Amino acid sequence: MSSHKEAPAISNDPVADNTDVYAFVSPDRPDTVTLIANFSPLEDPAGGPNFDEFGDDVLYEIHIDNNGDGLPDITYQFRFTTVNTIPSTFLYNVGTIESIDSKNWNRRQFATVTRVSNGGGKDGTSQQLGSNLPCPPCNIGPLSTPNYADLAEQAIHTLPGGCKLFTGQRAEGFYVDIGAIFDLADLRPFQNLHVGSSMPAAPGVNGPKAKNIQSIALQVPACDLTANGKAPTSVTDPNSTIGVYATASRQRSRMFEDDGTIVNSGPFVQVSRLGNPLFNEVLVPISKKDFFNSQAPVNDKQFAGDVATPELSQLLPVLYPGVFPNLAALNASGKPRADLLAILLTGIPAGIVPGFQNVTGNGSVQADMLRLNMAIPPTLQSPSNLGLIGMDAAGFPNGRRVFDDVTTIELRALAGATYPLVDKTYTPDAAAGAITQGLTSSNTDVTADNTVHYLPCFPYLGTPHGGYYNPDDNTPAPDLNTTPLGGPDTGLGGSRHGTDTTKVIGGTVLATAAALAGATALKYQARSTTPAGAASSTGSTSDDHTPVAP
Amino acid sequence: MAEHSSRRNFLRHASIGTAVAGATVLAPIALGRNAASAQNRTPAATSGSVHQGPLVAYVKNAHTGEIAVMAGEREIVHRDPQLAAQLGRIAATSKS
Repeated sequence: MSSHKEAPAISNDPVADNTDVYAFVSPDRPDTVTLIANFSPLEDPAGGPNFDEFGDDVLYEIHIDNNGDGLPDITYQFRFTTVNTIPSTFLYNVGTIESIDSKNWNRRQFATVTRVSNGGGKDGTSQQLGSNLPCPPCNIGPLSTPNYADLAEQAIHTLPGGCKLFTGQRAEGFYVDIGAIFDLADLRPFQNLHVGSSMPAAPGVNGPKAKNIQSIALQVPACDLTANGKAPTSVTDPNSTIGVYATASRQRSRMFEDDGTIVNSGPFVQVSRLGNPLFNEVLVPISKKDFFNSQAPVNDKQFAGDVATPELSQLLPVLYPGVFPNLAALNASGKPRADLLAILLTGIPAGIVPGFQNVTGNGSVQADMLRLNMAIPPTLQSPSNLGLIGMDAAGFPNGRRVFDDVTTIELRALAGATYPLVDKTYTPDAAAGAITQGLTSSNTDVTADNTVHYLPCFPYLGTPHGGYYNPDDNTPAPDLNTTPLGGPDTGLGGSRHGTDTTKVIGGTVLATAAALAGATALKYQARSTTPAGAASSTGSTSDDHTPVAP
Repeated sequence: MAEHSSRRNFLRHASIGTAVAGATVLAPIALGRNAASAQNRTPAATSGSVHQGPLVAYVKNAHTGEIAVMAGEREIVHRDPQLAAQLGRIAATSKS
């Protein structure tokens, strides 16, 4: 998934497993930026009696590079302390948790947040922004947490300088057909074209449906993040773009005592990190994944080769014979994927997409970070879940919003849809612009199954799924000699009716990238004529997921 | 046998880092080795206060004598080939 259990070692350490990172200009407070780092993948809402929580022994951090050197200039550190207020009971709560300080609530967690600049050393500063900030309980059920949204609201804390903080359980916002993708990249809407499949095309199935995560959401004034301390106003100003990544660290030594206690010693060592979604998961080979998690972005040049010749790009023409001939030729040419290197490791420099850039610094340092040009206002009306390739410059890979369909975006990019950005003579395969997971009905659909829980305001990810209502799906696996038709109809997948091989190969469906630059520029120019923060009505109306008749 | 037991106790305390015992056992040994390899030793190993909380001594590289001493959120890399070798001999003995 985005970065859920993406490497062998961190898969065994869920509380430190960074699943998703988001960074976007807050749509309801456009003078601020919202930073979100999620942990604890695939939480089962009915996970009692010891419900999910942050690790007291984990150092969680969100880093900002505001000068492009690949090193953090500002770091927000988060530590947690857990208290059993009623140590004599086995219960998480002994009655209804009616408020954030309810005496019925036994196991409680508190957050401390510290802002560190320039490493906190001789030339840096370290400022504690808040301490003992209550986290909300997990969403247990109607008897224990009947007014969960109220509890969560009480856990939104206002910090000095106009910051907001929320640390606690949220509904998983990431959507992906994980079951299909890791079944030899068998995208259900296209599985009729897969070399190994005899199954008809089918809608996608959202793997993390009805799961929860632990979310750290911080909203800060944009001027707090820039190198010059000023609010970003110009897209072309280098100060407007920041790099964002999150990490989790553990102390180097961990000793299990005979009485059940654990003694941690030593400095914190990075065990998880995440910038761009799917980077470690899909691009880095399994033998280097744990190593990747230990490394700082400033050293990511060592992974550039994995980006320049991505394995999945090599596999697509093999897995879908005849569907990606141009990609196959590009692969055979041995040319490095300069488009992916820019998107994922340096940012897109000026001059590639007219009116847009999100390169950090001078682009000389290759570092896996989300790059957000904060001068680009949020798209308030009809944002595209395909972000920049959906002609919405406010979305991934310009930062990442909670509803961005990053899996589809990156699959299309890997399939060659973005290569014309660096080589205008290249024509993407029609299929590259048609790839979909089948979880959304169109570019502007932000209600993929389970994503209906998005909130229009901080902390943006929705109320977590409750344990009592945790869905129970005991559908047996199909027996021999039966053909599975795909999972439940989990979205309005436009390709549910199947994909016409001849139309895809023949080029009826337009690949978006060839027209990307001009279209994006037009949209941005149109938006820039409206007042800051005002809604843009020029959102993409294209629908790359238009059903194709069988 | 008693010697084995004693060495095991030392190893357990020094490497598992059971609080005070670990520190007090490790410190005299380090001090005892001072004269032989002073040039390889950090000043903290020969004088100053003794850490009273849990600590872990991790021989990272027996050949170079690199020993990481971890206490709280700190790590001090101490270089002492002879101490590392002695700990290595203790570890080998504890296998029996």
